[in-house]
Amino acid sequence: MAHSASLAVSAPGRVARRRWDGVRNALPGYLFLAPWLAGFVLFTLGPTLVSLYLSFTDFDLLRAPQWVGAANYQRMFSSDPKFWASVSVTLTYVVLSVPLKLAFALAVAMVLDRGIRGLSIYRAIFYLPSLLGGSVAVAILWKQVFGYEGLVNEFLWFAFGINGPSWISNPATSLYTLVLLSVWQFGSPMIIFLAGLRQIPRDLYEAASIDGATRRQQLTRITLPLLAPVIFFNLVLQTIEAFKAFTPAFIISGGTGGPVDSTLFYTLYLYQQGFAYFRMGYASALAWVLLLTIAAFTALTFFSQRFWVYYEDDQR
Amino acid sequence: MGMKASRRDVLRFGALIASPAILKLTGAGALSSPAAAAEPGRLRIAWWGGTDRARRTQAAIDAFKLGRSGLEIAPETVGWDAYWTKLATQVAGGNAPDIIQMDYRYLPEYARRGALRALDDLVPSVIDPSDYVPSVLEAGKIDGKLYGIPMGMNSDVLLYDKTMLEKLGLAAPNPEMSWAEFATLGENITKKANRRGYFGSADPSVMEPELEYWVLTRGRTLYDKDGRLGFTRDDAESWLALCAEMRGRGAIVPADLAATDKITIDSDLLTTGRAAITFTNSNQIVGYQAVSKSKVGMAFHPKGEKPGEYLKPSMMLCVSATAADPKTAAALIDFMVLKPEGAKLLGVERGVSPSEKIRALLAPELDEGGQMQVEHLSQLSKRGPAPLPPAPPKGAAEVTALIRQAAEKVGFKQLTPQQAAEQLVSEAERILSKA
Repeated sequence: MAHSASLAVSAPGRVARRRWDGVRNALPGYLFLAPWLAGFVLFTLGPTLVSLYLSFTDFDLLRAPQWVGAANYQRMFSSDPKFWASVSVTLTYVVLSVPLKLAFALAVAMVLDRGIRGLSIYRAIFYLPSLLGGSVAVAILWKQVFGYEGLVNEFLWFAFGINGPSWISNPATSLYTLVLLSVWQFGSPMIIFLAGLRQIPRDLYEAASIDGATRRQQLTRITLPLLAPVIFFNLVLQTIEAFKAFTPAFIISGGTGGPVDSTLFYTLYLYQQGFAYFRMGYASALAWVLLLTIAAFTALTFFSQRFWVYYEDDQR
Repeated sequence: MGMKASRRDVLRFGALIASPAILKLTGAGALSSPAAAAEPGRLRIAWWGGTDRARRTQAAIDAFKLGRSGLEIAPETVGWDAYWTKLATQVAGGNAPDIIQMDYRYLPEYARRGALRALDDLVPSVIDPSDYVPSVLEAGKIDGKLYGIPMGMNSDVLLYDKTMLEKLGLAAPNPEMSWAEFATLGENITKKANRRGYFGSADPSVMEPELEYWVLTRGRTLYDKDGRLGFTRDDAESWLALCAEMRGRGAIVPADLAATDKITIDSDLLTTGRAAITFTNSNQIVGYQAVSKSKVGMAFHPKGEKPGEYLKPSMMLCVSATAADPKTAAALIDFMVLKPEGAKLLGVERGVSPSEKIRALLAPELDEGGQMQVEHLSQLSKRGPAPLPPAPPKGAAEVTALIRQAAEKVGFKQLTPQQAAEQLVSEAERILSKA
């Protein structure tokens, strides 16, 4: 009796004490987090929120922002053909480059997974383009390779006597050279795929081959289903990356998105509006639409998981 | 309890951040209130340009500092594109340089927004441009007040590969040449040179100044005084059609080569060895000759009905409205453009001086490129240049991109000259009405 009474009295106190313990235990964590948190609030969250405000204004950097309501958003969707041009270029780029890059990365990873000698050397070599990938130097290199007197045309000339066009400055081909550049940077998804492949138990393959499964069946029945979480991860990451692509188009087109807007990536158009035409309000609105679009695509990918991604502990 | 409260705190904090009042404070307030960044005894001067210009300007700054102990001058220099982004950001942040190199096309915007200081009270006591070419000095005035001191004059010209033309046995372009003769010359160069990917001329239709030349010879301007479009669909169509015809005959480069021309000296088709003729500003010959193995010559455009070339103020120097010591800033400007010592150090790299005194002083020391500029501009003065067109309005940068796009759409045969001209004019009018 006495025991239970004392328990009843002390229960709230003990709960409060436990909570305080929790806070106290977490305190050093927050303390260590503080520098990052301060940086995040000051340099990421703050500017992001300011840009949300600016997206409802007319702001040319020199004069104070004028509140214009939703005019920037209206203009984007109703009377800006360049906006739609940039949306179409970006979507084409995402839809082409992401699956191609993933397929290529997976293919290379599977070859490397067979356990060839000197694997670490190959891995490093294949990863190299990814390290250089987003850089200005590689974009310039690409310009040389696909330019008028580039490697590709020299080859066509000497091998077939064909006088090739300047691939990077022709509206019919320029975007595809950029897709190719993106596929060439398959290194980081490849490394992740390779790690994923290593996780698949070897005895599954052994059992399958004893049961008479072909290589193709092993691929579609064992490898791909078990790799699905890794494919999903790479898909989300690469889609976001592709939406954000900027440097190659900026360098190769000299910041114009040309010829004839064929490489006018959404981010490049945003940059032009903000930093070439000084329409910071409109550029902010463009940035927010991009943010929401990426969020929507990511959410959609996450939602689609239930149809194709199986985790090992899944009961389905 | 503690946990709950902190979560609510976070929400409250978020609401605070998101409320428009705070955003106004952090965004608008911080961005628009000019903080006093300038300090006496220290001047900041900003310009755009390459290494040769940086070297010359630094030499002039050092010479100016000699007689003034304790004066510190900090130079800031970047390329053309980055310059305007940086300057706009600095002015917005109340951190503008004291002396600003300014282009004719941006002068009205900066002057009317109060970013620049009118210099009338310092003329002629500190700066005395009384022997300037009057029309050039006039270009530095906005609404009757003097904001910019022009550093030099230039004009839109045609540059050609002299060595190549001599090798091919073709006559250099002459001042009376018509567009038909120009097209024939281009065609002949292409045929005689007979090299894969080598053509008579660069494509002028992707260059905004060349459309301007064309409309000036037809008695119009790109923009009128009120910032509206000054040319008609017919002007644009005839220009695009002329260039399409020259492209078809091989007189000018095909569209995929024209697309590699980013209107910089480095990417210019004369520099990259794709064409024998190009179009640019006269003072740029210094830069072109520096990177070209051939001798570069200068010529007039094919003649039109009316004059289309005019004397441009190539660039100006302005004093920021926030300058702590405008008098010393003005003295440095005077030293660079009007004092023999400073002007000699700068040479004609920024164009030919609008001051007669300085022109006479520099004449004996000029190299070939300098002499060509002076000679060309004096001939232009004799021929009768076109009057200085109104400064381009806000939104002109976008129209420049549209002009290029219209040319590319014709070049890649996506549109006829008529369709492209129609699109150009209606799009340009839409942009200018919103700017």
